[in-house]
Amino acid sequence: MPESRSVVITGASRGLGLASATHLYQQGWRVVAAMRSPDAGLERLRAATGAGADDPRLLGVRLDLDDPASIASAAKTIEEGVGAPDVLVHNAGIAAVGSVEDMPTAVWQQIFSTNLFGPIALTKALLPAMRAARRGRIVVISSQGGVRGMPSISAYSASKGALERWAEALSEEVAPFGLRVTILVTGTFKTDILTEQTTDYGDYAGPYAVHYAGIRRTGGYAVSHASPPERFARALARSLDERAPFARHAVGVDARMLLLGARLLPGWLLHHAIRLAMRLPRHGALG
Amino acid sequence: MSLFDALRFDGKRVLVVGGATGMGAAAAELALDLGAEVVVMDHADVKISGAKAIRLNLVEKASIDAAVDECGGAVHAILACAGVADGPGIERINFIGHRHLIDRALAKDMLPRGSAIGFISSAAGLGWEKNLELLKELIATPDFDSAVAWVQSRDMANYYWMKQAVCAYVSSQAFTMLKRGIRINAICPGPTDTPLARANKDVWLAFGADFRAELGIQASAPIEQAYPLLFLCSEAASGINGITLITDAGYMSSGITGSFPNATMMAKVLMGRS
Repeated sequence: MPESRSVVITGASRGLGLASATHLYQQGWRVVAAMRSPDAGLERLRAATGAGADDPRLLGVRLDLDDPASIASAAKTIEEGVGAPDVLVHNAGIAAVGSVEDMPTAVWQQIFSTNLFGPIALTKALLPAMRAARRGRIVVISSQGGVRGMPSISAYSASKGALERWAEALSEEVAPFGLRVTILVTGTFKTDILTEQTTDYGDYAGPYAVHYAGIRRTGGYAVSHASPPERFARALARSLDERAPFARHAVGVDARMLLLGARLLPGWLLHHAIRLAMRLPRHGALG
Repeated sequence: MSLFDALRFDGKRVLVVGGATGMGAAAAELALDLGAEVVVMDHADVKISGAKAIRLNLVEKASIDAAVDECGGAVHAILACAGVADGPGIERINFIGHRHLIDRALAKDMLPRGSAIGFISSAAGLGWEKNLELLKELIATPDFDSAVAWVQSRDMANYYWMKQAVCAYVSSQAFTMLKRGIRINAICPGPTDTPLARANKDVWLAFGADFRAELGIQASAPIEQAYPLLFLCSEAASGINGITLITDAGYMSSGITGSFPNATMMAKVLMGRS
């Protein structure tokens, strides 16, 4: 039996990460599940996969993307555990809700730390081994906000947009060494990032109250129509067999529609479409 | 004449511009089946047996002129099918080149009374009425070069604007064309399984994927777009002129009326009703 391919998934304790780790484990991958609190997260993973505590195909690694020391030690643990990973999935991410005016500046620091600087540092730590192995893939999980800045999640959108541009640049740099980069633009899936996990800084009595009301209605509709994370996991698994050195795919009907719109519609019309989708007041309607 | 006879093209010559692949190729095959003599112009190799192939690069005016000269004779239907999603030259490939080709054919009196022109526009061409004043300026440009300059100076060389231009052109030419006994119409297809769509499958065919899933239908096949295109150019449609027929399995209608709410926002935006 050939040795299992190895995949490192950050943020594997919940949401898309948990579903992806579970699915890839079931597909025979050797899964390194990186998370802030492996104790609780691994328990969920073992329950989902049926893996035993000593299963060599399921490794938990403590990883705090805001802490350089944690990233360095996680990279070391990963290399000791599986060597140069075949796949590194940057799934971990946080979001926060609130208009640009309502969002505290410190939150921007926090979001960019977890969504951008952390993944960059972890990649840098693992790249020498992956480069030496002359094979491997880095997968970046982006979102609709990374394609087009979305109102009330500007920091999250900016971090995902930056992560995509970083991944594009990286793909050109590492392709000559036989490495691949994949960007997956996610649509709306039923995960905690849509609900309790995301901090809300919006001032619901302030000047953006009307915005929040519209966006909440849209959000409620999106949540009620969101796809199960398992669907995302299957799309991720398919993308891991692609030959191209660089690929960018949308996963989910809404994300695919947005990519189509961003490609075919002029900027002013896309702006208008998003205003309508988010139920925001028209130009000049307030104040 | 029976409806079936009115749909025939016996003794007629049909020119398919962009007929090597996709909807154009389906239209060329269909025209052959309907008894037409078929001329296919394309940048790519034409592999349709029974059709005369002429090399055409819509980006270059000289190539269009040469292709029209090579075609010669009378043409009873021009099917303007060539189109790209993006890239340099899109303004010529999707609109201005077709218009120039038609102008050349008219100048050479190749289109007799009773002939017809059929364009393939797109769902992205809908809602053009809202942009009519601007589009009229483009349509009023006298020739190929001035039209290209007009588009490029306004940063409008993209898929959306050129499909808008096709719809506005077709509608605004109905009167002037019919003065010469020629009808002009367009179809506005929804997602269709063509090489252009397949090249960007996860994005392009995403349009209305939820609508089709709920109905249990597939994206349109090229032949399903060729049928209405040939119909519009046949005698069976002799009373139809200047229309932009939405051939999208009802996505826009379902969105506008709210009978399929997921499509409402998109339909309103595209149809300029928001």
